[in-house]
Amino acid sequence: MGFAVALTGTNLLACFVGVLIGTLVGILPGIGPIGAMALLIPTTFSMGPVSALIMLSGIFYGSMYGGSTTTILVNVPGEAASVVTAIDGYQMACKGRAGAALSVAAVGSFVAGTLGVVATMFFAPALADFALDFGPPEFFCLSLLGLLFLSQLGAGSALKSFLMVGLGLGLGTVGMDIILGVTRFTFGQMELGQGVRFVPVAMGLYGISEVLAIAERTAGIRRAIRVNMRELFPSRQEWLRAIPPMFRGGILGFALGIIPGPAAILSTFASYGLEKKLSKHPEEFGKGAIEGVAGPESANNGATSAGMIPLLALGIPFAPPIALLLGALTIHGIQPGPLLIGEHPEIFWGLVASMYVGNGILLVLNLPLVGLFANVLRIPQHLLMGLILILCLVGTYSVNNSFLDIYILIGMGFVGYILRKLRFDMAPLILALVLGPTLENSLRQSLFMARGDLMFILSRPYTAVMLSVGLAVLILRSLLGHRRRGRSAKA
Amino acid sequence: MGWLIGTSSCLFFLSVSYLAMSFQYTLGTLEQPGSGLYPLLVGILMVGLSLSFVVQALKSRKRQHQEIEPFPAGRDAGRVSLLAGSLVLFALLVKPFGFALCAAGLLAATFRLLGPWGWMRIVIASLITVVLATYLFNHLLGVPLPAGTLFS
Repeated sequence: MGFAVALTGTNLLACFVGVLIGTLVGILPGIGPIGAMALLIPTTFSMGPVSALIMLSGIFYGSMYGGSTTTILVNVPGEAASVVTAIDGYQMACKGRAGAALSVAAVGSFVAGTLGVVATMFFAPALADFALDFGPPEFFCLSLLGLLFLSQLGAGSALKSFLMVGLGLGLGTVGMDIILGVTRFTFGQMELGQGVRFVPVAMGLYGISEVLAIAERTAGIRRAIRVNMRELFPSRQEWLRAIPPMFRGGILGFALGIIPGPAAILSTFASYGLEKKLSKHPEEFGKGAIEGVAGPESANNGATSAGMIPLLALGIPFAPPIALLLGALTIHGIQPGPLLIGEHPEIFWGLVASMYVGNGILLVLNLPLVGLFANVLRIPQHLLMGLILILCLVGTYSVNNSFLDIYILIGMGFVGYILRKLRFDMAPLILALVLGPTLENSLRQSLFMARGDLMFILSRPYTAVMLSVGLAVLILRSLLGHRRRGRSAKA
Repeated sequence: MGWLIGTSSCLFFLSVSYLAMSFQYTLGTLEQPGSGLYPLLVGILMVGLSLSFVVQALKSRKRQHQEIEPFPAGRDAGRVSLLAGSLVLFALLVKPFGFALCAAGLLAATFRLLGPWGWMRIVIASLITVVLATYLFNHLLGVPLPAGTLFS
């Protein structure tokens, strides 16, 4: 069924457009997959939910492929998860092995992406079956755990991340309380009754603020290292060294991708560390070791595939790009969760099959067209920024034909700019805005069920485990923080 | 004394206001939670966190430059301010004047501020972009863009 859905003309086109845009977005430093997905959500309104999800997912994993191109050719990571690739990838390019690095990155991403998709096919339905026993208390704890992990593991300080979570949760309370039908924090504005939509917030925080940040600088365009077609393929020895890290990276990335948080970034660092430990030539790391490219690039694609599992099986996004997919599904009237596979099998299997297809398209696109993609970096910056502004404004307005959304977009753009300067990570705010309503509804439903008895919630086995894990993470983080401060004070 | 202290104070003030406003809504009971319970919990969380942030910002005011990225100065600050001002102007004028006119103005401002082009190229590029965007969204994607209350 999956391939029957994924290989229709519309869905194939959506997949192709998604991965192409994702690759371009990954190549261009700045906008990132979250910004691109937020910008393009309004364009999916005329599509069905399956096509919309396929396109947006394509942008997500496509950007992982594209990020490695700029990283290797220009030493500027196209997106955050490619930072580690810059360590050895650019060094390989400087030694004339750019083609080999790009090939290994592309093939590694394909291998890991394919492994991830196969694992998703088995894990997601199993997790969905398991989650059928979940009730409001479990979903409350799961949402809480997701927000907690993201705050602890995100960039910047935990306090700043928690503040962003609080802001996101607060923004999520604006509008109609769907349980009692009361409007909250609307200040008499009827339009606010529908709440603060996440599209203008996401576009403002990532799109508008990025344009303002770029306006500060007038840096020239960096020159990309040229790649010849005949240098594109690694030597036999390079393949032999690269293949085991591809598989290890893919598995490690997948394992970490299921955990809430910035899994793609974490998995790349973890893979790099692992490959350096296992390598027979650890002294080469940092100077152009091919394992330092193969492992991390595979890991970030493995993590990307795994990130889909909690969304599809539980309806809980554990990373901001996945939160946007949840938002897009909700806009299309689909509620992901344990019942999704049973009620909308075409969505689940169509998406899984399209990820196979998308990975194949990306492999074909990224190798022969690498020279073309590198030239994308030559687009004048002011033209690109103008286009981003227009896309943000039109995209935001198109959600509900609302001028209020435009005001929110621009306001959040200014807020996002200041937050960037103060080194706040904005991802927790987005995640909290998306998860907040689920958190509130599941809390209130749990209290209804428990007739006010909190022990009812705490004594359920799954919630007890989840809350214990959350508490352990908080305590561990606090202890590690104290230890670090103690060491710095002594030094 | 710094952006960190200013921002932390704003966050604290915002949190206290949010908490105060949450009391307008019925708290209910634990058995039947009202609309105000969850905002109350969020408000308490925010007040606590923002207060901690204020304290942290005050303690670290001497090394604030290590905690934040430097804000632009001189011409760079001017560029950012003018771009921000263009966006505000767009927001104020789009309802009466419509999308096409305001977007053209915003694009012209963006190209002028961020790029090296002369006015002729800027005007042509802005007009072409607006025409393409209007065609793409109005006709191809079926997204009606505001025409402007003054013209309708």
